[in-house]
Order: sequence, then C-alpha cells, then structure tokens
Amino acid sequence: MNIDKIRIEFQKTYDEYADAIFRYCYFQVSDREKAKDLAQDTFLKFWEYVASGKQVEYVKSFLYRIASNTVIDERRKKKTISLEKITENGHDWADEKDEEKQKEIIYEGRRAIETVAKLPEKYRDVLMLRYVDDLSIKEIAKIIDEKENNVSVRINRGLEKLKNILNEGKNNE
Amino acid sequence: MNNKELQNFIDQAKSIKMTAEEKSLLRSKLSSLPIPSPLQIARSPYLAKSHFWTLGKALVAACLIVVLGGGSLSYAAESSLPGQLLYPVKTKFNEEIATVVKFKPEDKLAWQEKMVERRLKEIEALTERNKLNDRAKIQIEKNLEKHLNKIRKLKKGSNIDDNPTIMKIEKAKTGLKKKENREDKPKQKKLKERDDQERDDIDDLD
Repeated sequence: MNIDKIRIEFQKTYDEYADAIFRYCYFQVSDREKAKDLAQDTFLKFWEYVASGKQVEYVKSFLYRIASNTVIDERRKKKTISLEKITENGHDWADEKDEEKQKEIIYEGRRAIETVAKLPEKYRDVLMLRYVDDLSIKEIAKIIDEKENNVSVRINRGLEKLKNILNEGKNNE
Repeated sequence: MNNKELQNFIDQAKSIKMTAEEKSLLRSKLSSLPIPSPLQIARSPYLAKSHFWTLGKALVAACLIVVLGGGSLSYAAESSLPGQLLYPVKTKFNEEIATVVKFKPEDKLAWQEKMVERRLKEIEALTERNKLNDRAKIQIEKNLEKHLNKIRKLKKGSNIDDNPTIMKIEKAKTGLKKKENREDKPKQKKLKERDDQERDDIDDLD
C-alpha cells in the first residue's frame, strides 16, 4: 500500500475512533487537556506503526492497546492530578461552562467523570471498555494484557463498586 | 441501585467526546504527519513530485546499460542463473547499475528487497531443474549476504528482526547451509577457489 492510501486509511480510522480514544483517556486521567494530549499521542504512535508499512489486523483493539500503554507511561512519568483532588480543592465546573469552546461538551458527561474518578484505577478501564465502548471480554483481555477470567472478575467487582458509588450519590441528593 | 440508573450513567459516559473544533484541530495536526522512517530525508517537494526527475533517472539507467554494458549481453544476462557464465554480468553489472541510479533511500531499500526476491526465485528455478550445485549455492549465499548487509545498513536505527525480507534471507541461507553440510568439503573448497578466480577475472575486465 502506498503512503497516500495509508494516510487516507489513517484519517478514516481517526474519524471513527477519535472520540472513543479521547473518552477512554479522559476516564483514565480525569483531565480533559491531558486526555487530548494522550489521544494525540495514541494516534501518533498508530501512524508511526502503519506508515512504516506494518499491517494491523484488529484496528480497534490495537488503538485501545496503544492508548492503554500511553496512559500507563503518562502515569509513570507524572502522577496525574486526580479529579477527587480537583473537586476537594474547590474546582468549579461552572467555569468551564463560560468558555465558548466548551459549549459543545455535553454536561451530563461531567457526572460520569466524577463518578469514574472515585473508582480505583484498576476498575476504571475494564468497566469503561466493557460498558461504554462495548468491547468483549476477550478484546479487553488483549488490550490490558490480562487473562479473560481476571478481566471478568475485575468487571464484576468494579460493577459492585460503581453501584455503591452511584447509590451514595443518590442518597446525598 | 436499579438498571435504569446504571444505564443513565453509561449514557452520560458515552456522551463524552471532543468538541468539533478540538477534533478537527487534532485531525489537521495528524494529517500532516511525516513518514516516520529513519530513511526519510528532506528534499524539495518539486523534485519529489516531478515526472521529469523520474524520467531522467530511467533515461540515465537505460543509457548506462546500453553504452557501458552492451544491450544484448545485458539483456541475455537477465535470464541467467547462478553457476552460468552470464550470471556475474547480471549481478555485478546490471543490478549494480540499477543500484547506482536509486537515489532515495527508500528506493534503494526496495531494490535490495527486490534483489533478494530475485535470488530466491533463482534458488527455486535451480532446484526445479536439479542444478543447484555448489558453485551456484556459493554465489547465491554471497549475494544474499551482500543484500542482507545493505538492508541492515539502510534500516539502521529501526527494528528489523521481524522484517519479512530479512527472515526470508535467513531461511534461504539456512536451507542452503543444510544442503552444503551434506556435500564433500574438499570438493566445495575447490569449487569456491575456482569461483573466486572467475570473479577476480571478471573484476579485472571491469
């Protein structure tokens, strides 16, 4: 495949998965700007791979795998400020509403981010990949490099924790 | 908590995405990414796209083959196989000229890979005709080694362990080695000396 065709395929892949990869990163780091950078890094690494002439059989899983590794690298480099800390320190979500560019952000998503940030890191990705990105357990196992059984256990435990968090939120309202 | 609440949460989570502006900005950044190869070198965009440049290279190659090599001899050598009289003309003349007129590193690499394919086809052809003798094996092995070194040099800085061409070369070399081990060693040495002598003679002619 020549480079022009690769570039066209790459752009199609970007159009199809940009939001999903961004969302995945956002749930992992709870920081919108950081999530954009991580999504960019993910596609940059993907480009480097495909432009060197290598074939990718399962693009979706491959992209999530890159994103997962990119997030892990980022965490190792610098501990990301968690959303809990931001809210504890009095971050005002309403500030973002004032920004013109934020108009298109769907604000219902804010609560989801807050909720996910309360989950331990090890449950975040499996739950999001399973229920938000609709990936199979087999695909998730491949992405996070774990056995399928472990993924299932993690999803069940994570789901229990998520339910508790949602219940707590409901009781506080 | 009921399923409705969980579903609400999932719907909220799914609604998270980049703004159209953010997505478009990132798209334009990614659309202009360069080819991430260590082989890439900066060159004029006009030269890279120019048909005259490509045509010029083809003309130079054609002229060199015709003027220096003699068209008919060069043409005849193209179908020769290792162990045959014209084979050195094919590898040491025709292919060398074609190598000289490859200017871009990626073209050079592609040509080396193509030459590897030619060597593999030669092995196939000789095996089919039951003519894969020691002399032919030595010639092929030497050439494969030469291509391997050039590919390694061109791909310097990048991981080539999983390069399909490298793997093919290694496989072919192993195959030839196995066959060689079964042969009589003194006989092989004698043939090698004869082959080296023949190469030296051809070098002297050049």
